[in-house]
Amino acid sequence: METAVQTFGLTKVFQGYSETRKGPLGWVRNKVRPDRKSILAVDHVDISIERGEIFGLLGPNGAGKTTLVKMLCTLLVPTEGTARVNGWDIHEHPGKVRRSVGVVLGGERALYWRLTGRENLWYFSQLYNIKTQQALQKIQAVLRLVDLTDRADDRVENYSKGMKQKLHVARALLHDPEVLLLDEPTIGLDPKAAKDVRSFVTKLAEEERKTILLTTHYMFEADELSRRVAIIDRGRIITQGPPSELKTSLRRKEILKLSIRSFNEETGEKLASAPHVHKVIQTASNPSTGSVDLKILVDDGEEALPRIISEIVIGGGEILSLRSETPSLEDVFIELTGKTIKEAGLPPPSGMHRR
Amino acid sequence: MTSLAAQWRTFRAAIFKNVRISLTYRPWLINSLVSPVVWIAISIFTYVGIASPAAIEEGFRELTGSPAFTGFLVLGQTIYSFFIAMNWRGGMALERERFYGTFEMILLSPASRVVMVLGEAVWGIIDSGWVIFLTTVIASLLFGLSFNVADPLAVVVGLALTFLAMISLGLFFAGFYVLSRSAGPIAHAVQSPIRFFSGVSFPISALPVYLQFVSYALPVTFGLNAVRSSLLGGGTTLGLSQELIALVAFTILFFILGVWMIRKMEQVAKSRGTLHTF
Repeated sequence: METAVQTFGLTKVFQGYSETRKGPLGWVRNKVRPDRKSILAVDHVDISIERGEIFGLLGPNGAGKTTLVKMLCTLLVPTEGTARVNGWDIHEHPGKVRRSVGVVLGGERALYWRLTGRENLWYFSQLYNIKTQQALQKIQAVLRLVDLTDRADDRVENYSKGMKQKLHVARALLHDPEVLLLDEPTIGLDPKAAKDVRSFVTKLAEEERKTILLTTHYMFEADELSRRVAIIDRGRIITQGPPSELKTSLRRKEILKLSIRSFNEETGEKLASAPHVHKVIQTASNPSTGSVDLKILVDDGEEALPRIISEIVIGGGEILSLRSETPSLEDVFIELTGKTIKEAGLPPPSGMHRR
Repeated sequence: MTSLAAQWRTFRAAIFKNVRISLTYRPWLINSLVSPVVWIAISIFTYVGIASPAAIEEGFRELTGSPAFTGFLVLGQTIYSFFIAMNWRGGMALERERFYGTFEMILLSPASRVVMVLGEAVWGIIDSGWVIFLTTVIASLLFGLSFNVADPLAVVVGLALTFLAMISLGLFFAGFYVLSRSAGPIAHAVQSPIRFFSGVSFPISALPVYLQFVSYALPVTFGLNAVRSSLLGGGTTLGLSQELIALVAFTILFFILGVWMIRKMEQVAKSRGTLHTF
């Protein structure tokens, strides 16, 4: 199978200002303008995407997904490492890389709201040096593909979020790129619009044979669309493989979901150190009912459950519900990072013990 | 190397986009028409409020060689209006893309950034040109303006080189503004000093000599001299050679600096990850 995208130790550090400012002038500027700390956004990432494959890059907000995408399309210069996109090295042939990729960056902007959808596409077709006749045909085709033909002559400012996102995708397809980099393409969309986007992403891979790198923090989206998934956290790829294989790796383990009233930190610590308990994660808390939701990853449910129940009861807790679940990609993430994907994108809360 | 056809498509697309967007902001036209006429009126009444027209004409004859002070002020404002147009059209071209959120998408395309900015700048000349022409006609009718043209070629060459120098200056500003990450404040900040040092409202010979050095470091000064001399003072192409050579030099200098600045801006922004941030 041919490789369409491959990265080699790709790393990005956003340097703090004080490190780049030298001499007396630098000293003054550091005093005048507060420093920005260095951030390791992407840490020696090695991934490989086969031609025609949908590859999911899954991770919480701030994990480094967008930075990775921007390095692959040459919008950011890596601090270390390199990548080959459609056979071209991002350092040596950035122009050829740009011609090979279609990019959709998340958000509603990046379009001229005062122009119509068709005018936006025409403008970008010209920047990609597409001849007028060819451009007009291509615009018609991509509008049809994303189902925007009827609204093509309306100003973008009158589009819904979903329509804008479709227009982003249409623009990314204008120059017929081999590789599509879709950064959070369904973020902020309502369920219907998100479903539409997911369905034509699948269509692009199946019918147009596009290689697609899709970043998302929605587990089910990565699971549903991707042939293979890489999970990224704090800039590092912590695992990768087909979603089914990643989930199978947890097959030996069981997930117990409990809702408990009057749960305390001490009980949490006891549960975490109980036999057969692998991880205890608080997934939600309901201050109105005084209850918390826990996910407990155990080696052996039958052996672990009596001890879990007794610890909760001894600690004064009341079990409101308890069920066992099949592992999902979310559980893979928890297993590897010790936190939920939602928590990973947030500052760590106090109280609950985690290991 | 991008082909000539590709450059043309980029240039044409930049103009097309701006035509379409400009048409959605029609109220700007009112400001573009009214503001220069008001500024001309302020200048004229400042003079006639403190001295008689004859005394002013005599003073202007001494300082500039021509008594036509209304023409001096009208043309001063006209050329300055072109500078303003260039500052906000060509100069702010890339910064505006950041505002729209399209900057990264543009840098993803293989199109030449320099050609893109040039397209915006040329559109600035075209779009502001007819408004400025109309303003000049209105001001001429209101305040009286008599031309003394001895060499029409000097007028054409003077105007053309002034426009070219300003387009180059716009190119330079385009990279500089994005790199500074404070485009709006700087674009505002450069306007008044340019107005003062270029002699828009008074002859620069009225300035102390050490300040005149600043004046002669600005392309607008030479543009104003060339246009005023050729339209009001009967100046010839040969007689204006100093101004014309200076304008060519400024055009080349700012073009080179502009190309360098845009490349530098892209390089820095891609390294720091500040392409989309303000």
